[in-house]
Amino acid sequence: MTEQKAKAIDDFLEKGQLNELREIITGLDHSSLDRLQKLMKDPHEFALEISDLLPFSIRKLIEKGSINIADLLPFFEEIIQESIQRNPQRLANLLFPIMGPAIRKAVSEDLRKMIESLNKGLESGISPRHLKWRIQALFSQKSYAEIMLSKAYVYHVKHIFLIHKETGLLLHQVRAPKTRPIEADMVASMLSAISDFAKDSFDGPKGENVETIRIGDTNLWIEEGPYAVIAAVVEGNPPPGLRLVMQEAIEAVHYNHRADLENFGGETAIFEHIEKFLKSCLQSEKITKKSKPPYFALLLLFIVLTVAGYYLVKHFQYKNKHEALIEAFQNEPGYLISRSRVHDKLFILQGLRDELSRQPQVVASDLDVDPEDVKFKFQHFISTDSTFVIKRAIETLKPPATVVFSFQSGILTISGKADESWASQAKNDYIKVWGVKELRWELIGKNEPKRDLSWIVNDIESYSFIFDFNDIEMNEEQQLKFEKLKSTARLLDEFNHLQNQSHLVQIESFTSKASNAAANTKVALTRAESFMALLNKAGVPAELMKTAVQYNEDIEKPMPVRTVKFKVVKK
Amino acid sequence: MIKKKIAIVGAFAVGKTSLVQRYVRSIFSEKYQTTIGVKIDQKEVQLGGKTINLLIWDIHGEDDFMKLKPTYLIGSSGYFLVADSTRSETLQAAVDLHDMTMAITKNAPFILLINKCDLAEENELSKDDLNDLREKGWKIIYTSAKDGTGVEDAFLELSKLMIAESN
Repeated sequence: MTEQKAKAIDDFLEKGQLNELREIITGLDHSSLDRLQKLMKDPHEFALEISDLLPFSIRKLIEKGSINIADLLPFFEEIIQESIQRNPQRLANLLFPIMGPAIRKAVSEDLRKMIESLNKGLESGISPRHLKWRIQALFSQKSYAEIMLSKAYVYHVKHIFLIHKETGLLLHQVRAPKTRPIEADMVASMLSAISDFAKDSFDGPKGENVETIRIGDTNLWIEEGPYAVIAAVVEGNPPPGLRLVMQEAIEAVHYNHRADLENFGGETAIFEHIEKFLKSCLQSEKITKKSKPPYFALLLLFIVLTVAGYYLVKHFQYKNKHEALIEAFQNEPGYLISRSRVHDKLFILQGLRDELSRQPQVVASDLDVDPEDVKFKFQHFISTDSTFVIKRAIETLKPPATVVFSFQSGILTISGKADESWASQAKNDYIKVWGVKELRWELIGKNEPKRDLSWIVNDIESYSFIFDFNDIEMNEEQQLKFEKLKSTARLLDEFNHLQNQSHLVQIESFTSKASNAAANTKVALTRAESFMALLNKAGVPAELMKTAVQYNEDIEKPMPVRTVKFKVVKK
Repeated sequence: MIKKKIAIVGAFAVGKTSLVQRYVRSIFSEKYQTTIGVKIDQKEVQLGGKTINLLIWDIHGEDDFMKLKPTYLIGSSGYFLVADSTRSETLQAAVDLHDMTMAITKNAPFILLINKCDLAEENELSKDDLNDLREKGWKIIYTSAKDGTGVEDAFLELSKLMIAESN
């Protein structure tokens, strides 16, 4: 049975019937099957076969959305990275043909921008606006470049159009907030027409396109891609960096919509989601309005300060002048300043003045003070300044030319030669010289004359003081009287010495026994003791005084009650 | 929204600009102002529930001194050839322009407009010539920018042709 089968197969093969059957089943002839077999066995052949199909397949997959470029990117990046790590030179050699033109293009683009910027600067370098900037630079302590840049970089992108390059149709547009809408479709088409016109009319190098259109302060910047262009309507002076942003946007649009752009048939809805790329171009830079220095306020402040300063200085000068004037009068012999004030722009100086002193106007003129600005209110007084005491002594005693006076601490010293009669007279009269308490003689060749002080007894006994009820203090008038009493009482010691006797002053305080005698006695005694203390303080030795209370009821000649009198009695 | 660029070409003073003005703004002026370069207008048409925004490129009339710039035609989805019924030579000019326009627009649909049809007594165009063109498959519409005859129809018809072409 097996042999029969094998024979039948051989017959089948010999007649070519098997090939015929195979062809019927597979639909492939013998040569095609050979080719397939060869592909299966030879990987090199197989790779060659599918190499033509792979790119097409990938493209179709991308178009269908089965895979996207983002998924492929990591593989390509990894491959490139691996390649660089293994042999950087290989990739460098591969890129060499495109590196040169790319670098040249980048350099020429930068140079073009630099020249454009330089030209712009030079163009308007002598314009009134730039002159204004130069003046600003001069006064603001900023460099001219800083000022120029701050002005040049203020711009505002108002509209961005994405325009289909071939048809000139607007694919999408965005505009800045608060920007007035414009007929974007017509603008896009017209822009395309202008670009076409420029290209046709000026025979520029192939591939060169209109990049900028300027209308007054509005610039139209255009960045081209292979299938679409981005046009930006910019107000002001945009910085070159904006072009880079636009380039990135047009690249992103092409990256995402290359196929849509290539096969564009008028449907624009598919481009709506590229808005984010266009919006990235809506840039602006506002002038940071620097707050101006408050010139007016500063001027006002300056004026106020100047006026205030002027018056302050005047005030101090005025005050200093017054203080100097007061000091001058305080140092001037014969003056005692009690008060100074300003009234109605007049400086008023009050006090006491010895008539022998210099005139106040003369003193004021020493300080360059206008006497018209000062009013003097001086009361008369007698100064005990040595100059004035000596003056008064000369007037009173009329000394001969051979006598010299000196005065210190109340003692008038007479030196020189004088006859006895003048000396005797002087010893009697010196008491009339105000301020002289004692006389000393320094006469040459003469004995000191004997002095007659008998008059002091009557003088002392002539004083009496009457007080009010229960009062023990002296009033002003009584104080002046007491001053004279003091001068005389001080001579009592000398009087005793001249008389070679012992006299003392009995201070008699008069009262009555009527009503409360004890109280009356106490007040009367207090008054007497007060006088005794005051006289002792004035230089009268305590042992030359005693007190006594006299009752009117006990004496022949009654005195008014509350009276104090003095009596010189022998010890 | 669908946007379509259409071009209007023809000899000078055939009434291209007047046709556009009549269509877009419904106005007509006897005053003749020659077009320098290109003038662009737009109008929306409703067709089969779709809005089509027509960007109409009114291209300057061709004469001995000013030739049509081919770049203006690139990207047009359709075009009008305009001839003046009172000047027979303008029909030949339209026929001549057709060859160039057809090539640039890659066989985009077009319509021949015989303008100034309101001046019937001054008609110079031979029916035979027009019939020859019809036989070639040209669509011909008589228009008058002055009284509006055929203007709306012409734009609507071209829009239909363009939509049909793109489908």
